[in-house]
Amino acid sequence: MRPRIVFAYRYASPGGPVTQLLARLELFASHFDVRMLFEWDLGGVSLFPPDIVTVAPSFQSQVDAIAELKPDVFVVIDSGWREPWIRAGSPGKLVMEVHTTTANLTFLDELRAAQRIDLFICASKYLASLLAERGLGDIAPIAVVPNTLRSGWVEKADPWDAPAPILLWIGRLEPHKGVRRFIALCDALDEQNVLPMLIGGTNDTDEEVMDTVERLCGLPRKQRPIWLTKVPHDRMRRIYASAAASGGMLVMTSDNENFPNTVVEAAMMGCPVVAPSVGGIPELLPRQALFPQGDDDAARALISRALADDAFRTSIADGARAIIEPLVRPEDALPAYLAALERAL
Amino acid sequence: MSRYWPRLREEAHELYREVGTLRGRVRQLERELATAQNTADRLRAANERLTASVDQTKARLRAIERSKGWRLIMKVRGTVRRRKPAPSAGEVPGVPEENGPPSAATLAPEPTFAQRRAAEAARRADVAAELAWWIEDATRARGSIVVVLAGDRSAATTGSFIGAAKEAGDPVLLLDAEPRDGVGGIPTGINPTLVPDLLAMDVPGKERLLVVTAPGHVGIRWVVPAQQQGWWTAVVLDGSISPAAVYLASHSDVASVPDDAAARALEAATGVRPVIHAAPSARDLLQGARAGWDALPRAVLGSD
Repeated sequence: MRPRIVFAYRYASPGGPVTQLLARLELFASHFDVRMLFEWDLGGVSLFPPDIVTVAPSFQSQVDAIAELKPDVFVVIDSGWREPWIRAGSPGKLVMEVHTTTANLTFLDELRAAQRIDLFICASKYLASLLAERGLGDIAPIAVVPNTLRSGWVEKADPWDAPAPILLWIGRLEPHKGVRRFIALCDALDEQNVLPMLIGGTNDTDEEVMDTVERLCGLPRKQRPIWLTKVPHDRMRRIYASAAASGGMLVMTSDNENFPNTVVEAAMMGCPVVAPSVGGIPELLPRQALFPQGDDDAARALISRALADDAFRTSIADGARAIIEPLVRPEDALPAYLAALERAL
Repeated sequence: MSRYWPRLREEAHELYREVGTLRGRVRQLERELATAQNTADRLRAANERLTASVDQTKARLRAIERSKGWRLIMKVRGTVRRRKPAPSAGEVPGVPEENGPPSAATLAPEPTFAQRRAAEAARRADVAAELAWWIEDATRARGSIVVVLAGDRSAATTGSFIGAAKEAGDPVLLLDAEPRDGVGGIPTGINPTLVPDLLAMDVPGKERLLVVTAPGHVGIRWVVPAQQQGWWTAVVLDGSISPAAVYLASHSDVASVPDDAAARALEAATGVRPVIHAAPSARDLLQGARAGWDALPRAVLGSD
């Protein structure tokens, strides 16, 4: 009989951790009986087989769900779910997967005070160091397990025939992701005939949505900007392929990142990425694809070079893939997770 | 002396060896001592940190247990338990009953996080149930178009779409608004939003049309997801060209403006040619959308 592993996360929305959980469902099923718990469905539950997922919005329903599932390993992703697990009698081992960044230090402090954690898992060495610095290694071992991709996800996609090089930006519109900085970069690079493309925004605040539209569409541009507030994950392959084929790239402007899936996906689809040298990003990209965080001049110069120099674009795309591919191989995902769990079990 | 020399030399060599062994042993013990001291230091430091953490946690716990809010919750829980011995599956600990008699809980200065979450979940469940009924009614409605509006209820354009939909028997719903007078609604502040549930509705034999009557965050947020779910999307503009109008005109399936001058201005600003209607109907917009507008998101995503 396979041990039961239960992953608990707050929202089931397409993208983000749900993408990672879908990959794990596929890759871990040979060893584990995999189940998912969510507090709310934001359109992600239908992506899973129906008997795999439980949505438990109230505290009592969460306690009941955990008690019924009787997990051998209970994995909490980021926040919530610990109190119901304790109230359900603390079944199995408790694993905390931490994906947060320094933008959310309170969460780490809460973990510091938490009881009965058997293992911490994070995707980047950067975050593992951060947890260790904050003394979480005294509570439980800290293991680094990189995120993975679903097998077959990197199959080629037909690109859209874009009229100009796409500068692609993906994320929530909240300030630390740097959407304003991205749009300002597009303004500065407009003379180079770039096509700004934003992905994301359905779950952001009214003010953030309006601020973004005013910055993006408030001034005339050489190319009509594109903003897709929501894109199904399987369509993202076409987005990355389109950016790559157009001579463009994915541009990151975050104040901090842990193990950004967008960077992984773009690199695996052959789309060049330029990003600030911050958080876990330097673990994923070659040095020449990085610019100092907050240095807009350096970012602009790097993007300009990548737009103008095909050999450079190829070099940073190939370099990123060479780093990322060994980290996210689907066949390595289960052994890496099991090796980490061994420390707790 | 010479007779004893070989034996003395042998004994001396044995002593040298023993001294060497003992010196090695001393060094090894010194290393072990240093390691043990380091371990002890680390454990002492860890102990201090843990003790401080325990003290902090105990202090926090004491502060919570002594707080008025906690005492109030405990009191209310006692009341709830006495009233309802077997808790139901949906009960959230510490949440006062909504329809109960006035109690001390109603005097609580601020609801706790759990109370707020429970209230939010209960509100969402009510709205979700109402939405489910609206969707069920929509499938049975005699009209051929499901109309969802993103706009201001008090604006004339929105009002005319609502009136026309009612007359034609088309089910109509207003986003970011309370359901009222036969018009469905998803109020603001429902977290997480129920709009994806609405957009996923299946109504065989009917067209689904999202009409933005006021360029703003609601339309911007949902035009592309609606297209991805198979809806036609339209924006009705009054001629003024705001950034939101530019976005919606270039991302919807059809944009409508009242006259030729407004059409020329919009085309100059966005590169897309709108349709001209002084007062468009849902059917006008549907026709315009179907007429072959290759909306930018559809082209980019390849979803046509």
